[in-house]
Amino acid sequence: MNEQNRQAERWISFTLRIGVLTSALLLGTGLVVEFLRPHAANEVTDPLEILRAVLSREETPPGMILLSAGLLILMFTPVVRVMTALGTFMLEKDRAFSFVAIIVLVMFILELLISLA
Amino acid sequence: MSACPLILTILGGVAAGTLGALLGLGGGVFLIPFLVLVLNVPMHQAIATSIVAVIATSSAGAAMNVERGTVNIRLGMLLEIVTVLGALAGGVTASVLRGEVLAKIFAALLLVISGTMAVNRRFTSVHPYEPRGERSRLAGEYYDEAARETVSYRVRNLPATMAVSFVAGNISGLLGLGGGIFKVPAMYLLSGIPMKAAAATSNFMIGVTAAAGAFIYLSEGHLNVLVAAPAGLGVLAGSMLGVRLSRVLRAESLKMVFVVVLALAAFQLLIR
Repeated sequence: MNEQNRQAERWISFTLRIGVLTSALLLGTGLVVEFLRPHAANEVTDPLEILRAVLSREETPPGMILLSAGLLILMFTPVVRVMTALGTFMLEKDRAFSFVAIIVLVMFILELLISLA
Repeated sequence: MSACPLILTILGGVAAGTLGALLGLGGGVFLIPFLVLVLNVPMHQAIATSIVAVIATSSAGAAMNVERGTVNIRLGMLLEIVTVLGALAGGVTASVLRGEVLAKIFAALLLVISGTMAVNRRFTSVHPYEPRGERSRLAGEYYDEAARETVSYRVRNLPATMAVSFVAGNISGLLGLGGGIFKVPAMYLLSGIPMKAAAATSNFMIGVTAAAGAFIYLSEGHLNVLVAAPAGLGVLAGSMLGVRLSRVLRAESLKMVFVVVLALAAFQLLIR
């Protein structure tokens, strides 16, 4: 295995590690904050709704923001991993597998657009 | 959700993750019945939660396996095209099916898994991989620490493995499981990839496949932060604990107990 491949593996591993650690940190902190807060019966628990509320500057419990951010980061970690792999394939001038990575990414982007529409 | 169910969800996640890692299954096999039968979480929400847990454990495991060099990244990326398509189809199918129907499909799969565990078919005694021959860009090699040797292999019969991977992706999107139970034997038996590389590559792909399904559940409003966050974190912690315990515990002796537990959970879901 050449040094270029090893370098690619290190980058992909690093991306996954950072994603999982960041998400675990946010989820852990969010759970502690939520654990201490009394909950209302019909509270919004959908991460997309919470994100919308934050973007429209509505009052949102900080714990719920942390939990939503942690879940969304976790869900996007594999997508970022595909982007990292694409970058490493491009650096290796591997056109065939750059194309494979682009196909996977395009499927994700189309899915996101259709889902959020 | 009050503090009590929050703690119960974390503990359930830890238990599911530990058992999943001990038995070589994903945590979802135990997590979904726990959420549905014990905490009365709706089936769609339980599946969405399991998908999040699958992403967490797969990403954490893949980070280590990639660094060790056991993952065949190119093969994984190629198979991801079909697993993502399968997951999208599964996620869309799940969004139009009622929770009761999904529960019955899940129960049927649980019975298949427990039956497979009972038969206890092991593939490790066979070595069908081909270390020699013309090497393609999908060929791989890794250093096997246990055997203290570098293992080289090439990939054959790719279309058959791609077909099985599509089914595995479909199960991931439909039922929130990783699908490794189908992919690993397919890679090993059909494509001649050594067991360690097959398991590591399957785990590497699971995160991307699960993420594809997760976005559909997210857009349908089935992801509940107060269920997914504690369960996901619990499964992640449990899977790490399970990996450590597997070094000192003999999971084989526990296997028959879990065969019965899974079969009982399946019947509970069927008659519910």
